[in-house]
Amino acid sequence: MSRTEHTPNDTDLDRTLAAPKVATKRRSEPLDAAEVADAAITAALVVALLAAGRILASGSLFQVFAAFVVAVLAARRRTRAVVIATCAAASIALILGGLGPVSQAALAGVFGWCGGISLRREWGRLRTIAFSLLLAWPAMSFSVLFFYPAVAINGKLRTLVFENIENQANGFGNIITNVGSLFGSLRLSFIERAANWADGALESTSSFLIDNWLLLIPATEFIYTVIYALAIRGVGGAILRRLDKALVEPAPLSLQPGDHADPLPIQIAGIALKRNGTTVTVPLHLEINPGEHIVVEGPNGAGKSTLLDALAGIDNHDAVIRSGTVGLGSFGGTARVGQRPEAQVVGTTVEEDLRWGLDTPIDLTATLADVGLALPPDRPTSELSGGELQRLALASALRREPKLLLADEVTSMLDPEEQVRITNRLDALRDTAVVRTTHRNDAAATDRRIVLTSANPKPAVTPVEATELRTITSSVAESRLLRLRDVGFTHNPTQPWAHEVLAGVNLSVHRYEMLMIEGRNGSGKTTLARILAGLAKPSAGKIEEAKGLKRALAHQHVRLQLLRPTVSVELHSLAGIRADGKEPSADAERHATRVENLRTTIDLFALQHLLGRRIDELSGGEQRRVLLAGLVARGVSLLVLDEPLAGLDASGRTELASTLDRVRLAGTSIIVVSHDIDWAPPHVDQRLRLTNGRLEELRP
Amino acid sequence: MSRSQTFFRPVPVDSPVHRLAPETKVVAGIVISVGLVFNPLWSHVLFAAALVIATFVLANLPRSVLPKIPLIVRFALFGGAIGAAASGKEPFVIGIGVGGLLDYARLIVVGIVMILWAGILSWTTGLTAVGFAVRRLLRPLRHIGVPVEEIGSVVALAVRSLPLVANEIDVVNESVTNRPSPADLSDKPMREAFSYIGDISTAVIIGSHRRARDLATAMVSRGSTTAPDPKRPDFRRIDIAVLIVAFAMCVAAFLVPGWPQIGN
Repeated sequence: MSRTEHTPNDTDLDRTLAAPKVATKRRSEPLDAAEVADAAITAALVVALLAAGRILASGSLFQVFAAFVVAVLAARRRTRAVVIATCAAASIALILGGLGPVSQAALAGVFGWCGGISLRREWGRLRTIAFSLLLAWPAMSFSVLFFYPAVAINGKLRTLVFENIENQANGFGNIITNVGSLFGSLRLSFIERAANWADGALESTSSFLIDNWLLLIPATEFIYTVIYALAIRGVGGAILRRLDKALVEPAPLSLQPGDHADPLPIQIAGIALKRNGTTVTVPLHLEINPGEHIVVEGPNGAGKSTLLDALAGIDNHDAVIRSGTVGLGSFGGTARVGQRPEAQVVGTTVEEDLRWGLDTPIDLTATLADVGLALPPDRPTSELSGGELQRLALASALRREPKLLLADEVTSMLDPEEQVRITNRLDALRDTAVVRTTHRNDAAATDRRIVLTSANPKPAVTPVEATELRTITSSVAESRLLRLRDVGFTHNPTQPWAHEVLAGVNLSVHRYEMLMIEGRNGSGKTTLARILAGLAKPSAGKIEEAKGLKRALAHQHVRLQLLRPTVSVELHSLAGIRADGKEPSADAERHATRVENLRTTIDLFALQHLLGRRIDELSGGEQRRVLLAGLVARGVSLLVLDEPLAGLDASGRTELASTLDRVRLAGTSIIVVSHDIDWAPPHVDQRLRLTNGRLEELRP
Repeated sequence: MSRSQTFFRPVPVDSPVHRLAPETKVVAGIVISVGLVFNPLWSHVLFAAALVIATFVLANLPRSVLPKIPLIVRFALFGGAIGAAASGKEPFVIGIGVGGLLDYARLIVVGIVMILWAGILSWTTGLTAVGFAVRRLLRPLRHIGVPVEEIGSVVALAVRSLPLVANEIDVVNESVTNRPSPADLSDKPMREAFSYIGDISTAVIIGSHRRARDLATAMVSRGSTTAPDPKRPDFRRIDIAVLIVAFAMCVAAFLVPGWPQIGN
């Protein structure tokens, strides 16, 4: 067994990061994969926002949000992507809602594009408005006048709409005059006069609207244009800066030609890692020949995944020397399975996922059995557990009979037995060169080992002293916070999708306790989490709640719950205190307690050094710590965490465990709801399992 | 469970409408809407309404699929009806002018017909299948240089991301409503509210762009940005019959004078 170590040296290559944000591509070139994905998500967001706007009262605000979303796309991607995203959003809107939503989608597209271009060019306010007036105003006026064939070409729907406006004006005018004359008969003639005046005003307004519609449509569009241009310019810039901080770069990502793929031999000389806005180079020299098996070890952040992405040809293009083509994803080329299981899925069903990108017919059962899975082909991928997803992704990689297989922590979510099986399966590949990363010591004797050392030593999270926790658990009072008795829940009870998700659930939560509820996806655990957090009402059974109990739910994607830009502002906002340090005139005492509360929470969660940082610069674990601290400071005494384990590696789990300990030290009870049945945080008082809507206790 | 989600889910029952090819349903819906918008006379409106209701019954859909109308919309509809009724427009029935109410009803029915058709489509087909249908329908346009494959992939991918994205919007919405408004905690409420709007959009956009990046990497790793085509639905005689009826209705809207004639 050969073993080599590589330590990074700090080389500041910041200038390479400041390269132009928008990929320089020719206008008429087809969209690459990254652009397709961005356009698709933008289209989905626009449609979802317009749909939400139809349901909720503040609908027009959602239309402005839709324009922001398009503006962000336009500022980061080519116009081609914007046009295609708008077309896609419009066609989905047409199917779901008819012609009205189509024009809203077009409006978001046109105004968003103009605003996005101005943002990209960093134009001032006047220039932005001028640009929008030059392009968006005529476009929108034209489309409203002529796109609706009913309005301009054909007068019949227009006549109907106008008659309705006239009727409404006449009707309400009649009501007002009648009421007015009633007052008139009571000798309150000034009210009668006012009523007659209002009637006249209504009727003249409606006839003004109807007579001048040809001018009024461009006039309203003019006002819209100015409002949208100003709103996008004011808010869009901030959104873009925060996207950059969150390191979501608009990197180009193209499909690679699959013919005659010949990825090996391959040489790699140094990989560049991006860490907090700076670039660090790992001086790594490596040559991989056909059939070789290489195991890459090292802690998180040492560049294991970046190394695999470089070998796959999707990162660090300059560092790699190869004679042939990579052929990523093609038959007999390179296959890559990334780290987070949810991020590897492309298909909505098992069958679609396995067939994605393969033209040849495929024996589903055999392909799945190869990795130890037995799943029906029409099983939605959204219902699979992390371990099942990992094996599904591996199955589609193996199905391609690759010359080079890149596997990033592909067994991290499996139980020990299955891990050995999969590792042996990979070791048995003779014609395939395998490069896999691992944080376990499971390299076979024949493997070549490469050890990467950490590129940025993380500030160690100080573990909570075990003795501190013991004093708390031993002092568990018989103070019950929440009790569920025979709780049941039926989704959409009056609708055809009605199905019973929960039945006869009994559960008590006491102060200082930590419970863990496990259950497969689809077992009703998200519903239970929402009921426990007080966000949903059960359709059967009773809930007894301690007086003044505050409950909260922390979602799987923490970022969605963190709204303000910096840690300090966010914590103040969550705790309900002014961030500028001023005291409110009323309720000074309560304010003082809250401030004190927040201060102790910040100390307890060790957030002092993060206070000035921007939310989007934080790691996922740090973001969760901020959210939980904020909720604790708000006075939440029962915290429900929905799927906190998703996408975490081993060190992420340790970090989560330590954060949970801090929450408990603050005196808050915790319920962890998870589909991962292989791992529970330490210090859990009770483990329960949810199967088909029924809850049972697990004996440890 | 998201409020917006129920609208996008197929109802698990079987019916002749479920078995129609998705393309048929999409095209028929669009064609009928175009006809209606072009000539919304009572005769045409009632005929279209009858057709949509018949389809709804045939589709074996329970009445409970219909979404609840929000209170504010009900109030608006009711208020509009009062205004229309008070206009006292001819014709008179027992001395009361019902013309305004009739005009109003006609406009509302046109709207309901269009929304109900979209509902039937999503309840009997499922959005993923609709996405594929749009992709197949657009394909002929490639001969005139429209980037059909790209639009088709984007539509199919967008449609499958829709439930997740709608769910994320709900989560953000929930965290907005569950915390005190920052405008109340500031001396400059307007400015604070404005930047809060930016914060909320950022939360939604960052989440979805991360998702887009993951999706792109996953697609590149599989060597394709297009979902594998599902088995092409069979076009049967019933599909052709439905399309003939839809097109006939559209043509009739343009050619048949209908009743009652209105001005212009």
